[in-house]
Amino acid sequence: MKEKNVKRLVLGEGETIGHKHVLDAPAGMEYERTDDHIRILLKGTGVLTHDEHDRMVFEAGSMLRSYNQVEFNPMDNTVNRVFD
Amino acid sequence: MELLQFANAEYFVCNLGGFELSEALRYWKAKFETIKHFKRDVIKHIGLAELGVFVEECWNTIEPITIGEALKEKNMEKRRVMFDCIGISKLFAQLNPELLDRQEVQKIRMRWDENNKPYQYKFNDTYELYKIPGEKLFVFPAESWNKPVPVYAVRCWCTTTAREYWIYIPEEIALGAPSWKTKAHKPDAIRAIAWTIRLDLSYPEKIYRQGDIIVAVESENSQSVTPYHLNKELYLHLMYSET
Repeated sequence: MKEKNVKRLVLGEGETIGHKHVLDAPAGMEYERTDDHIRILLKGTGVLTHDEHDRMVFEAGSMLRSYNQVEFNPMDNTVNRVFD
Repeated sequence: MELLQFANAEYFVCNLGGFELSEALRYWKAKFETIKHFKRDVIKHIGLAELGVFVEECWNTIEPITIGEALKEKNMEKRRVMFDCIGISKLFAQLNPELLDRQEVQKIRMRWDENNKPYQYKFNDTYELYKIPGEKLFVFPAESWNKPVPVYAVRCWCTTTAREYWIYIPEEIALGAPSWKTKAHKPDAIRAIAWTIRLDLSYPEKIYRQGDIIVAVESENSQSVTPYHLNKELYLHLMYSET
């Protein structure tokens, strides 16, 4: 991937209380953002943290895609992202 | 801020136009949890900045629309917008929905301690699938071709915070078949929650879920594909960690 190279990336921010899902990768990660997902290449171990949830650990070298959960809107028949 | 300059304008709420200011304010108060959310989603253009200031000044005095008012509304388009603004949690909490399916799943998922050391975590997760008959929400003349359509939602609880969530689901997913194939209907709460995960990646190796964030790990065979929703089998098979 030829996109941005960072050590910290926010994958999502809570609608109600504003807490963030933050992915930290001290050895760095490359990422690219599309309308549907964020694609991430971890150069070292990645740790996803959030104030209210337990951490998650991803292996070095993993290629990840981050999405939001989705919901149906029966009032206009659309599918939209969920924000907790 | 002068009320007069805003009072003569016409307002759009949820893509429906024709609202007077006093009406729009009450819809917005129901739809947005805080003035911050209102300003983020409505005041998107510099030309609306003054409206944002005005609404902020009176925000605490606005009475949100209620379900009772929505059910009395004769205009079905307007009623639809009212339900949209009121939101799923209040709708299902107050309209006595019908429980279609309830499943408790014993899960073993991966978690990590403060030193990032993995361990297996066992817990029970409960999912409930509900229906509100269309007749409770909408009314059409008897001679109309339009018939009120029911709405469906899956109810679940965050395994970490115990917070309750309601998520709308399409009818065909809730029932497992189109509405007219009544003999094939088999409501399934797990199929419903699986549908809320949508990927555009073939052959994911495993899936992590942290709140509303879904992370799929690509495998050697993975390719970009047209977005698809998980089915029950994939959901139960691929979910590696949930918190």
